[in-house]
Amino acid sequence: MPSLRLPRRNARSAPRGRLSWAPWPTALLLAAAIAVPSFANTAWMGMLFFVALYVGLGLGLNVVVGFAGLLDLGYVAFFATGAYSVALLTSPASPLDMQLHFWAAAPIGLLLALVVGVLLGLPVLPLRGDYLAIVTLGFGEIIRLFLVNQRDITNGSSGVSAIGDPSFFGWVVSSNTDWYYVAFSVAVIVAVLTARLRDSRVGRAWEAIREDEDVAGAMGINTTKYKLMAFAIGALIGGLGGVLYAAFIGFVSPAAFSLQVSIDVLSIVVIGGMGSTWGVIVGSFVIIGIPRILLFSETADFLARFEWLRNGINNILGGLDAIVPAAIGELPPAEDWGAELGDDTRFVIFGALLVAIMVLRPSGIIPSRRRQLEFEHPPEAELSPVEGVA
Amino acid sequence: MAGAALEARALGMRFAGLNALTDVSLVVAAGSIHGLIGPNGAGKTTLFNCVTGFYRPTSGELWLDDHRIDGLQQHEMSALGISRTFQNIRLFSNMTALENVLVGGHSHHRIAGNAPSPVRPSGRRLVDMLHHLPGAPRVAATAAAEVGAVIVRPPRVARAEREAIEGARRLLGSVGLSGRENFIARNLPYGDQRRLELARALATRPRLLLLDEPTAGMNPQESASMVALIRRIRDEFATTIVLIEHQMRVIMGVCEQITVLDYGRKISEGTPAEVQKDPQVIEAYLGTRAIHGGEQRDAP
Amino acid sequence: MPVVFLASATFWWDQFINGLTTGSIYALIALGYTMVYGVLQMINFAHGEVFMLGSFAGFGVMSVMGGDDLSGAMIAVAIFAALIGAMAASMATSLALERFAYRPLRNAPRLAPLISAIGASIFLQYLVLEQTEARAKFYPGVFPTGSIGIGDFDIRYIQLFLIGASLTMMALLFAVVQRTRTGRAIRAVAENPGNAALMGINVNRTIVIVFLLGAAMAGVAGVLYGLFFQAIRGSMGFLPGIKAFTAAVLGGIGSIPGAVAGGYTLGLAETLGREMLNELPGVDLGNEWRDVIAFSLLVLILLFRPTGIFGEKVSHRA
Repeated sequence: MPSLRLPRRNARSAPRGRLSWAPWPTALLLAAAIAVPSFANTAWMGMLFFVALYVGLGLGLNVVVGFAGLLDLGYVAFFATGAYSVALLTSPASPLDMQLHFWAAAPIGLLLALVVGVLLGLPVLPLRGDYLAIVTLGFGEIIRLFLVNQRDITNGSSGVSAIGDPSFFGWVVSSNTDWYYVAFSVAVIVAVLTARLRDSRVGRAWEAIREDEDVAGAMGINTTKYKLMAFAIGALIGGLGGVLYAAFIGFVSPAAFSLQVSIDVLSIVVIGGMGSTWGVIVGSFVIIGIPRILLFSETADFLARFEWLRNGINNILGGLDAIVPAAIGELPPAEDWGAELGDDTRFVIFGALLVAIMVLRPSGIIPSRRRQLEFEHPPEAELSPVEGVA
Repeated sequence: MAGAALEARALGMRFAGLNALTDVSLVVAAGSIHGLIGPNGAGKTTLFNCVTGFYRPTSGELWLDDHRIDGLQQHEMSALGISRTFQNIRLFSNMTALENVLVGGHSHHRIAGNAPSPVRPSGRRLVDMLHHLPGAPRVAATAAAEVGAVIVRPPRVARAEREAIEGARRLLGSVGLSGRENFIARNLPYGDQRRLELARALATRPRLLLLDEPTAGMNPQESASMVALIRRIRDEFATTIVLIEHQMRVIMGVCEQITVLDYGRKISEGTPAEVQKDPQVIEAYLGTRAIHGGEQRDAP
Repeated sequence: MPVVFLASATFWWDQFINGLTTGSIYALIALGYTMVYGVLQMINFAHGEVFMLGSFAGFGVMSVMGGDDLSGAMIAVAIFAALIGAMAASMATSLALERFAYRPLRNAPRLAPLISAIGASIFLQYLVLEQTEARAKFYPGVFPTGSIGIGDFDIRYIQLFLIGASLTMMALLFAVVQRTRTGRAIRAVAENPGNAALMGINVNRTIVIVFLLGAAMAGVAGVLYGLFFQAIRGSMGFLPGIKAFTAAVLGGIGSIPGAVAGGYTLGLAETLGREMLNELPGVDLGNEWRDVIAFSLLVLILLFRPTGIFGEKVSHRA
């Protein structure tokens, strides 16, 4: 045995978990999440399903980008793998016509996503940041092109429909509310598990690799193994999201698996707060929830009340037009404002937000303490201890 | 098991056109404190880099006890029990002191079994058996096992984590950083950062510890403190220590043997007293005229 | 490969010229990527949008000057004006990018400028998509049709113009970089910004100039693209951007001649490659396979030969 004398075990000390999950906000969130279906209509539940789904996806990408520091721009690839696996294996309309049971197809989908993650990760991990990003972007696009072009396997652009609803011990998951509960449960599980990973030897290894990869290696950390681990776990979670998505919508087509998905998930992680679970939750509401809410009829009704504002602004613009002729045009009707914003405009806003966040508040809306330190340099003189321990 | 003995036989390190090390042979006795001195550019850090696997020597041999180690990779060197600190401190700046030390103890964490190595007998658990698989399957299996262990968190795992934390705490105590375990590394004062780096290196349970200018930037009091710490570490942990130093007081005070390098070659070796009087050493540091009372060359 | 000559020689000649044409555009855009990488070691993800905005600006100029009603000498004037306008727009965009999205992040952890660049790219793309309601705009088809050549081995006037204009711009750039003081400053900063600063070079200003030069190239490429392909849309920068980046890496990122060589190589590989694959029995690849080829090339190069054909060593870990 090595000569370092092992200290006597102190039976009194208990393992200390990270104290970032203060009890009250968490309990409140859980309670609200469980209660919300009782007073929300089905459209809202659909929106909340997507918010919860993307929380899960965001947590998955968080492991890759936030914990391990690898910028993956092709996350949609794993999402697509999970979704298409379920679609092709279960649907009677699929070219493969295997019509497996959902619960047989889902694990296969997850396994495939894992394999894709490892295969993608292996060659790509030694690359430096920029190149890793572009290569993963390329992979994502190649997967989408594959989906479009390989008609005999994937049905090409037409997609695969008629994906059935799974049943869970006799309970058929069919309504938006049902699916919301499923997505929510999955998100909670993923949150707990990723938090456990972060607060363990694995999480410390990731952080060490992010901080100083060479020294991490000198400490005996197999950096390739841990990076691959992050990639694989991210892929698994992405695949899980895809499985849920396919079963929820009942239809998949390549158009749904474009770069936009990768960008959405990345935006959630970056804008919400890299490495932070709460950040991902907030991020998902902002990136996924708000645009959908803007498209609701309730929103249109609500906005219609601001028609006076629209008229006022149009009058001003009309007045200005007389002085300085310019093709500004007029504002569309107030009730349409939501629809206008919710569509392509959201990407204009997200793009600007990504830049703004990086320049002004790189750690995101709700930063994880760690990344906040990394990005914003606190005054050196401050010897403030940090609460919570690994 | 006491610290390991290090031996270099005709070690050479050549970069394009530059001979950083030429024909360097030395023996570091197990459990001793050995000094490595020489003017700037003499090749001291290069020697360290060879011993830790950062460089692959272009000629000669390196031996750790009876294992040949030249040409091994860094993590293999680390597994053999070789550890180092750096000239410009390389801590994980945004992690706490405790976490830094915990990372140092990475390979010894009992969470998912440990790889068999010459310095550690193989464990008996299933998870330890996984380490006997070859290459890629081993990596995959141990990775999966570790993830599984963390997610499920059986009592064994929780206990392993507890033990790791306690061990890390004790190390912090050894170097005098007891109250600072939750401080972010970059917020620690300079002297404490050096101690922390030492603690982290100790967490790897080294049989050979290489310290690169541990008292750089310290005033005489802090240096004396560090020297006392080094001695205590050797006594308590029985590891072999090799020091690169520029402060003569430190070297002469704590080292049992000293090797002197100049322009990549060994020019002297012996006890502090012997080395101090060696005219070749004086010439290297102070210039030929110094022996005859002339002006200085570059100061060390 | 005997199969190659199953189709007629003029067919291959046409494809060859097509390859040179698209290659010219890739080369012009690639120059921007390679120069910015040379001085900042970062990939300017938004450079494709610089190209796109230049194209739209050129379109705007030509529309104002008459659009489809242009004739005679006015066509040349309009094209010239469009080139100027495009360069101005591209340079302005690039300037804003450097100043607001990149410069504040010079010393940030490496993920930050990357994400900022992606954000800027998305912002610009969708800004235009939104303003145009995702519909294409069409450059006036007023460039003289017809071709010049020997028998059936001809080259269309517009292709000649495109290749010629590109080569002229590249020659100008090369002259600037090799022969002027500014060019020397650029090379010094690319080599070692710290030393360059110590020698009295204004590093910030030099970096701005690098962005401007690259943008000028991209602006010209935008107009040439518009004149040739006619349809332009807000999303047009993405694919050429990635391909031009591939070209820059192919030729060795940071190397100006490399970017040119890479651009033409990619153009030819894309065009001729697809045709060659189509020669194989049973293979009928549509247009989108050009993209697959390009992406695959990108992935393969970055994995196996990131130094490119002529390039310098690229560090494998940031």
